[in-house]
Amino acid sequence: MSYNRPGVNKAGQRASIQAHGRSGTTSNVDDHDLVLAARKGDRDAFKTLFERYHRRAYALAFGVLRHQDDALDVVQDAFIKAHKYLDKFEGNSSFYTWLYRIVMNLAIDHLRKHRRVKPVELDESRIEDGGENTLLPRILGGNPTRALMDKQIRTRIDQALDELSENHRAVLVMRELEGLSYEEMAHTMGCSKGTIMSRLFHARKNMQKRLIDLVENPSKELLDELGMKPEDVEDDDAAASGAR
Amino acid sequence: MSKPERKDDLELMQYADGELDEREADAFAKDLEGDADARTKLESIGQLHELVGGSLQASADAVPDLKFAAMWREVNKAIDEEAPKGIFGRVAAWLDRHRGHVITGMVSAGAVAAIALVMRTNQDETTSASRSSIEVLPAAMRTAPVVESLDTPDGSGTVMNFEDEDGHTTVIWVTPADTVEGI
Repeated sequence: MSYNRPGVNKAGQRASIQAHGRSGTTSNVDDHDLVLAARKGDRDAFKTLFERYHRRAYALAFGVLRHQDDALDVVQDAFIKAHKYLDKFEGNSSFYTWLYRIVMNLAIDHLRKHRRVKPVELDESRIEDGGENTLLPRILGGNPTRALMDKQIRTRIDQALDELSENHRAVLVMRELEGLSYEEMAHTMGCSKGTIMSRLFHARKNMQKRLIDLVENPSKELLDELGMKPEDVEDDDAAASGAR
Repeated sequence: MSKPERKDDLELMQYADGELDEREADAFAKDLEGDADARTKLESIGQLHELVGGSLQASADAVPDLKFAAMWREVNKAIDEEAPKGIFGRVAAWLDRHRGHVITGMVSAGAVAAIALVMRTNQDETTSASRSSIEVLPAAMRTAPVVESLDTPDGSGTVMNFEDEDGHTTVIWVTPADTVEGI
């Protein structure tokens, strides 16, 4: 029996936000050639890179900053800096890997400069009690993609992300959106692998804890989507209580 | 929650994230077969991955194209503003980009000139020494300096190693730069 390991694909790419290329002459050229052309002053080549990655870069920035205008500013600055320092891009990694590091650095810098909330880490010890992390599969009926179509669930996820500490959120976003390894995240955040592991562990626990009420109060639309009735959820809750 | 349980959860997370090595992952997968609770937790991590990733993706897809079109105009404008103006500007920009090579070249040329000067001085002194029978030792460098370029997190630099009559001297010349790494 084999089990699906989530997020093992390090690329972490999601089809709908990774390819927004236009139908121009450069749209089929690979990134490396586009970078070489852009270095020589080919503005169209750089525009193609922009069109390929702007939404993906935005998703990353928005995940960290949770503010649309701030995320747009960061992505804009990131592309300006990327162009300015194209000569320093050595090509050891992909263009996007290089770009996301610029985006992450700018986003973290932005958080430091424009901190809106007190940077208090959650009391991680209070989320140690187990149990909750087994609830998500039942919440979503094993179909998170369909569940995401539910506005209530999307809102709850947004709220849960908003409530995470900045460090927890940054690590969670890098992992779940970009599929970065612990080592890569440690390099980007300037901390140890152990710290990354701890932050990710607690970030996930916190997210799950905050999403519990999706089980208790699922919307009618969600239940319809999942082909479930309210009593199905109650039965599941009763079974879960009995199991604990 | 007991400590051992938490350790298991961490290992489960590492397994889910592909952070265990092959041997560990194989052993863990075997253990999972008899552990329904761990399988549910694993599924839960996978679903959270889908939810968070999918939610951020949806947020990005919801931004109107017009916003990104406006962003490109700003990026384009900024690139234009940064572009060097006139011949002098372009030469200065080229020098700026190739600063490390120019410095290395200049130092190397200087070193060659110094050696040539020393050798010429030696020749003159040897000639005069042969006339007066006085032995004159070289006064400057015995060997050419070894010049290496140096990349630092905040700029570029040059390392020069000199061997002269006083022994070994290393000069490190660091030029700070506003680099991407420093962002």
